[in-house]
Amino acid sequence: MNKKTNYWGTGSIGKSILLFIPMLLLIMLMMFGSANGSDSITQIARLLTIIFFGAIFFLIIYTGKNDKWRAMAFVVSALLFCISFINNLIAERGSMTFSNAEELSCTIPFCHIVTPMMIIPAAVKQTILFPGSLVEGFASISAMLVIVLCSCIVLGRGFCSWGCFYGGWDDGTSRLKKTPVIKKVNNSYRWFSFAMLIIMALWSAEAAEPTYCSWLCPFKAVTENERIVDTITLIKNIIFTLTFAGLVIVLPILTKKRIQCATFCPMGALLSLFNKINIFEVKNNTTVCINCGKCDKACPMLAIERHCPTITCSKCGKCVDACPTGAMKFHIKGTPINKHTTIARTLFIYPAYTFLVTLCGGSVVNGLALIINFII
Amino acid sequence: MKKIISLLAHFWASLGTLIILVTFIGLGSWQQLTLKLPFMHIDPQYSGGDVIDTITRNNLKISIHENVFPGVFRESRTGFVQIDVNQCSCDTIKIDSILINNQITSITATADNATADNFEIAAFTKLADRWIFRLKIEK
Repeated sequence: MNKKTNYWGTGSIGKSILLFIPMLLLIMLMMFGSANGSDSITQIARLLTIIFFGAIFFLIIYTGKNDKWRAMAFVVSALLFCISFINNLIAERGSMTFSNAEELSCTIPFCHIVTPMMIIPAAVKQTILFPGSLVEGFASISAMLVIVLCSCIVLGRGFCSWGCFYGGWDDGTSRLKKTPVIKKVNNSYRWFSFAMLIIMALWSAEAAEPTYCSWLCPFKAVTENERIVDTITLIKNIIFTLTFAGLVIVLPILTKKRIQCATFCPMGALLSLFNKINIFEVKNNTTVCINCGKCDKACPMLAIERHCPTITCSKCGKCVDACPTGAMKFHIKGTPINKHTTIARTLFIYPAYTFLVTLCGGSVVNGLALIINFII
Repeated sequence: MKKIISLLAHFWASLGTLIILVTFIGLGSWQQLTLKLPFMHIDPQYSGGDVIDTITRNNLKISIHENVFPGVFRESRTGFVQIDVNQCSCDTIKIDSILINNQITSITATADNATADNFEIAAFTKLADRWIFRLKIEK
């Protein structure tokens, strides 16, 4: 193993296996608990999912490369989540669009991006401004709130790179080209997500509807959207398609940055605030840093300012991988920067990966089962 | 002191995986706990609000919800009253001035007295077990 470029891999099969076995058991526990179905195809899909997630974790530990392997699991999870989600909708209501019936019967699946738009109505009127179910059904409000709270406590904005089942889309598209066409993207654009957070929270309260979901969300294009019944719904669907094409496909390909996540997502901005109280961070050991700027160039979230990660860091680990001196590292707040660094990385990777597997594992199994069914 | 803080930080960091496991394994119980939070109610704009009266007429169970004027900072001038009617095998359902065509899933409403001069359906839908329709109201 090249010591010059790899500071984090165990480089030892034995150590890697020791760290891998508990995670494999966790993956198996979560896989057998989360996905429904006992037919042979689902069992095969479940086995493939366990092998896939297990292998990725082993590679993260053994090779020391954080972002490369994480992204593979993250992107696959996002794609299979959408396949599984759309299939679920079609099975339940015969279409990936929703109509008046779903709205009036409050059965629209809730997603974490609605959270910023819930804050003002929850505080002022003590109600939730969303036509979803509180407890019952798929993606209920209470379940998503518990999961979001858990991720805020454990991962902070790490959710955006280790849990968000939408983030994998632009994480994936930002890797399609080897070199960016647009070479310089101003890092200060990341503050636009905070403007989005404030605007969306206020606009939603004023309009009395979750406006980001109703008008702007790019991921409506690949999950569910309003049935086109009039000009307004047609305009909404055009906007969803345009924001998806622009912010999730075209700009990430051209810039190699996660433009939607870094500059547009109000939930990302809200989660950034939790980075302040989160125990984990990515930190630059300035005594070792040679100011090469590779971290800045690598960061897909526009989160690095003068070689130091800021509060918008999603802890993807790309800068840690890019750093030629090992100055950039996962760090536990309150501990010395130059001690126990491998322990800090392991203590972060473990919950982060567990979160990804638990949140997306069921969808991956279902998505894989659908693909296998389609092929045979 | 630094050593103690460092030790505590490592301890807290090591709880991460446990917190995630406890969260997901006990999700059902946590969900029930969140229901006790004061804001855990769907806004009446979507739920239709509380049912204030239930009438049974000709084997039809009619639930009338409270008046709803949507808005967070202030109520809007126009709102609605939601009425739920259970499904029946009949071709049409007639409740006073409201005629529901059960076969082609349409609904018409006509004003039949002077106080209801603007009798309009704001929304309607046919679910598996019931009809939901909303009558427009103004302050």
